[in-house]
Amino acid sequence: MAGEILEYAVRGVPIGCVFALMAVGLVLTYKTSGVFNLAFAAQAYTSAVVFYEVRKEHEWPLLPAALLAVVVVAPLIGVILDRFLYRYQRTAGSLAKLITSLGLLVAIPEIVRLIFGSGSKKNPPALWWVKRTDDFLWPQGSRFVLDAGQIATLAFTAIAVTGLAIMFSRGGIGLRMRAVVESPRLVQLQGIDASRVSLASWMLSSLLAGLAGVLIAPLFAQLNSLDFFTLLVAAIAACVIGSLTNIVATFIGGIGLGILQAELAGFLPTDSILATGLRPGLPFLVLFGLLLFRRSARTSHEVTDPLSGVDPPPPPPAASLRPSWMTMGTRVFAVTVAVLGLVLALFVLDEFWLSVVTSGVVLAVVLLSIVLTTGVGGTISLSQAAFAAIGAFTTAQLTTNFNLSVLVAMVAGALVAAAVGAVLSLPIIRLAGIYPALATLAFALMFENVLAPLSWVSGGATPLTVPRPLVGPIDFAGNRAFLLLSVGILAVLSVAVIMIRQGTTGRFLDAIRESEPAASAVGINPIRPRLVAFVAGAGVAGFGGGLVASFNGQANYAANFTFYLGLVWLVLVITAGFRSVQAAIISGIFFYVLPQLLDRLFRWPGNYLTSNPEVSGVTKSVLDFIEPEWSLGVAFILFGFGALTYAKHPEGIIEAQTTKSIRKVLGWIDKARGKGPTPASEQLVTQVGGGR
Amino acid sequence: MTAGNAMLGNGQIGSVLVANHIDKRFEGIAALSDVSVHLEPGELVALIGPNGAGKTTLFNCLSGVLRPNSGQILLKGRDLSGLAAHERARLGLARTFQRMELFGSLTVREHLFVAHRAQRRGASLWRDLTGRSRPTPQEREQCDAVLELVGLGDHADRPAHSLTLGTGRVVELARALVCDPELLFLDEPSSGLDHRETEHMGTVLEQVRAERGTTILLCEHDVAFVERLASRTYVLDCGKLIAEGPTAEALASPQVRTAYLGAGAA
Repeated sequence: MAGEILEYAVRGVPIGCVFALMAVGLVLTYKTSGVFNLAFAAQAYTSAVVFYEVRKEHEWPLLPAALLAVVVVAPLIGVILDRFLYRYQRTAGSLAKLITSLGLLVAIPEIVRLIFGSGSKKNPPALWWVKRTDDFLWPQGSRFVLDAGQIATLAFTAIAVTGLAIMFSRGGIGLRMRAVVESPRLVQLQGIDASRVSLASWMLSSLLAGLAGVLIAPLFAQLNSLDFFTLLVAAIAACVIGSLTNIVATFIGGIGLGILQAELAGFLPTDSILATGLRPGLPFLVLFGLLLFRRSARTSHEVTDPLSGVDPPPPPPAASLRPSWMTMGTRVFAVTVAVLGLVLALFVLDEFWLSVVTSGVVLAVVLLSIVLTTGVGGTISLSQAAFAAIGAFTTAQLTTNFNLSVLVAMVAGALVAAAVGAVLSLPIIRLAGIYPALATLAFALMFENVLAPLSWVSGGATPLTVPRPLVGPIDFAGNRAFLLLSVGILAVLSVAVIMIRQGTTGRFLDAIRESEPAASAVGINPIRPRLVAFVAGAGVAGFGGGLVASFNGQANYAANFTFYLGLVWLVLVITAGFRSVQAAIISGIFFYVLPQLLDRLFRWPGNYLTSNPEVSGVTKSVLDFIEPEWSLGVAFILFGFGALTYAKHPEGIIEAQTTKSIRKVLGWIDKARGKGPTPASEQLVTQVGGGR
Repeated sequence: MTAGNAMLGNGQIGSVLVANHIDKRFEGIAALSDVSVHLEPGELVALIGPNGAGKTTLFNCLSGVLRPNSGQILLKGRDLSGLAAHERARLGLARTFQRMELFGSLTVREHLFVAHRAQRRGASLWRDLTGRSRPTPQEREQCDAVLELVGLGDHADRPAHSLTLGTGRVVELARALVCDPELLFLDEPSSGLDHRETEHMGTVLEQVRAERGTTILLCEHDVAFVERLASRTYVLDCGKLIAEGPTAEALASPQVRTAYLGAGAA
């Protein structure tokens, strides 16, 4: 027994080392630049793919392959991210930086697939002088035998740890890094180049992420970016063990997690639900447990710069700038455009484009939940796709097994999703800073890996079918009827979200977001309105999920509700402006229309070549190079990069453009009247003080 | 006059607030030790002391932002221990902040509506969805009355982030007053204000007292401001009460002179 415990522990150490390397990188950049860079998962994937390509496809020797993937490519990505991106966000809040990293997490894997092709990459090689991981076993014949992948992990982790220890104990780089976190501006006033310190830490932590990616790759049957997200959760759990600040505790925590996972794998009976559920779910459970019992997670870790008072106040909301006649005008205009669009869709579009637009409208219902939870409620939630899936599965189970009417089943799905959201929100809502985002990320990935495959949840491997609604004599089976139904539902729910945002709940949430101490000093419970918004958001997502399933005829998790899709949705809505209902609607339609437009665009060169076979030379090779299959990847890359605008325009692109055009129109009016600036446009110029 | 705690600890039956033997430690540092204060209806009492004396810590313990390690706090005879800040606020404790805490995107009038609503009706999703969450005529009337009282009528529809520091502090005061508090804590209302703004704040406070008779505990740095407004004064130094009594007497006591001159800030 004791021997077995030891044996499993030895097997767990290597994977624990990978968790630890990744976690140390996360803590390092979080400490030095305030960025909790979730994109490290994508960077780890990138290095693993580069190593696979040169080592396996091009058969490079180990050393140059390892140098390229880990020492050149990985830090280079870090340099690019720091120089071109995070450098300009140094004074932004940690939430803005987290959103930037979410955008990167969406975009980077797609860029990698675009460069290296989307073909499967089977049996990733180990970072060792062998072709296959089990070509080298040591010590042979012992019960503690390790393969090449595990030995490489132990060896390179030892090297990395020694290097880090030397770097932090010698010289002042460690001290300088800590000072940069407190206030980059103060540090610069002291004559230290904050941007160089930040650059160094980005290179270092990106190198660790790349190393972790190459080391863990041999564990997977083939390289898939989704597996690296799961690695991320274990690393986050290790970071929380170290309270996001203590590097040594984080490292030990990572190794501990690896050992715990191996012990569970060894001792649990292999065919029980515990083995299939608990083992992959362990990092999520540990993370959740830690967040529940760690008091430090409840107080905000938001890094605020003592000199942030020099920043100008945030722009006033566009709505407060425009005179009431203009508000009425824009409302009339918006409704007209919406009605015209609907008429156009119903009578002009062919069946294909009709289904594209309907998909967008249906998705917009799900995206409304992001407006409610994140925009109005102020909680960054990465689990809205999981709530939508819960709604879809409930709808499917009820219509399949109990013959319930679809619309009734959809309402039941909304209620089940809201109930799950309520249970989940109890621990999450109390968390501060970036912790709610981490906790919902953990839940979403646990749902994806542990719960969604269970047959009592999703119906098993083949998706359950869901019919289209039939209400009395009205049959919504046809696409036009279904579009009308979806638009009706979307309109009703949009109005509901606006009522909540403008009602007392919305005002209380505004107050809590602007100043929690002041809100509770006038008697507002700082927890309750956020909880209400989170639960209502989960309910809306669940209802939307049921609608998606009904539209597609089945509750298909892999096609409609994955964590990755949820990530893209969140990034898209935040980019458009997560406080407004228009953002959800435009994002939903854009999400389906843009890839189709790109598809048409990328098809054009191929068609051109077939109709004009005489084209030759450079033109031909360029046109030949473009593939229609790129469309979805390119669309996702654009969506991901959209999130990078958040730091500059936290109010969203739509709102920013609205403000801009209102100012322009007011300027024109002033000019036409030949008067000085109106009070509204003057107010913009003379704002002083008070802003935080 | 020495801090005889046996005497200070005894609030009378009608006291608005009685705080007995408050202790607060931060990781071994005693921020407050054995501090007792009491406030009688309609009084304006000042709390002064050098930087780091524990004034804001005492405010935070009384208003529920911090939990004291020991001690008892009674509001109109009701024990407040275990109640969160927002629950104490609903029982009639209102406060302002040393570092201004406004709801930046809301207008001045909306600040008062939010505070008024939080005190009395609270939020209900159902009322929001059925369109019954607009301010009632009664709410408008009461908020306008407070705006009038503190002289904010001209700024009522401006967003808070466009206000000067001086006006912002008056908005904080108005937001606290609209809660119709039993007791109002003012945390350094004059800090950061210039002479003219401080003068205005003093006038506003005098008006508030004349018209509403609100019981106020005023934490202040500006001794002239305290002499003008407060009938009684507590002096804190290094977490202990070193003097208490009618303002002129308390300020003249030798302990207070030592504390202030020793700190180099007479």
